[in-house]
Amino acid sequence: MVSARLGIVDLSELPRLGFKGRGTLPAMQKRGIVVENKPNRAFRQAGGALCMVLAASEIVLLGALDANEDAFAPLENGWRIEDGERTYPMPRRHSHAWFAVQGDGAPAMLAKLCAVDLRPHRFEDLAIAQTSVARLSSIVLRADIAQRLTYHVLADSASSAYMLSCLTDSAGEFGGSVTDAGSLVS
Amino acid sequence: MKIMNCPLNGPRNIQEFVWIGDVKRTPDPSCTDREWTDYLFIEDNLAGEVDEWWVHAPSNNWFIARRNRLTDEILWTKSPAEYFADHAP
Repeated sequence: MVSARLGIVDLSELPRLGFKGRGTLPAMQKRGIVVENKPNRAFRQAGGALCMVLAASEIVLLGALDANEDAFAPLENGWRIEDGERTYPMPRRHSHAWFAVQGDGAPAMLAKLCAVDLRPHRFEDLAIAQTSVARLSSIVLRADIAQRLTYHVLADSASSAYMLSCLTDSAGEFGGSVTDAGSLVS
Repeated sequence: MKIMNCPLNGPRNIQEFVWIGDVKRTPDPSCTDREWTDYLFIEDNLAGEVDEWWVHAPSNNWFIARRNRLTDEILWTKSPAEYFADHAP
């Protein structure tokens, strides 16, 4: 079942962490993260987190909706350059704002801001597009929640107010609005 | 809208890409100042088909495109690994 309602949720408070470097994928697998060498794909983790593969040498972890503030702290703090794993952490919470857009109207709404075809039959669950949204370089991830069509948009955190205004402006035509994180799962 | 094919992300609007410059062989570090200056700052500005570095800005993915500078036609794009495998010195 897919929700007909269109909602925008600011998930920027949730934890997220990136790793970059040629040894990133084996280093993550060694830490028990479910991930494969499939750029522009995401992988669901036990507990609800997501691992986005942006390239063969770069991943971004997104915390579960109920994640603690420091969910990824052990991963970040446990990294040591002396281990020579050819990977290094990237503090993505400092760099990227994170919005979720949920509902049947999301593909049509996002089509006003993004040229990539995000319709569900063309852009499957866990697909990623690194593209331009509202003329801002962005990562768009489809990761449905409770079988509801859900897109996650991550973009420069310094432009988060601009991005939110573009999303809400676009959603207005479809009766969508900003809502709280509880609505994503309830 | 003009479309370019990113080797990592697929076909995208040309607005998502940034032109970097000609693919040039890096001179030996023992080269003269004139040769180094020529490598860094002087362009041939050829009118015709040229191999160029481009970057897909949203993913920061660098790749190589062959482009006709007279018609602005993009003939192909390749990842650096694929390109340099084909153009081994």
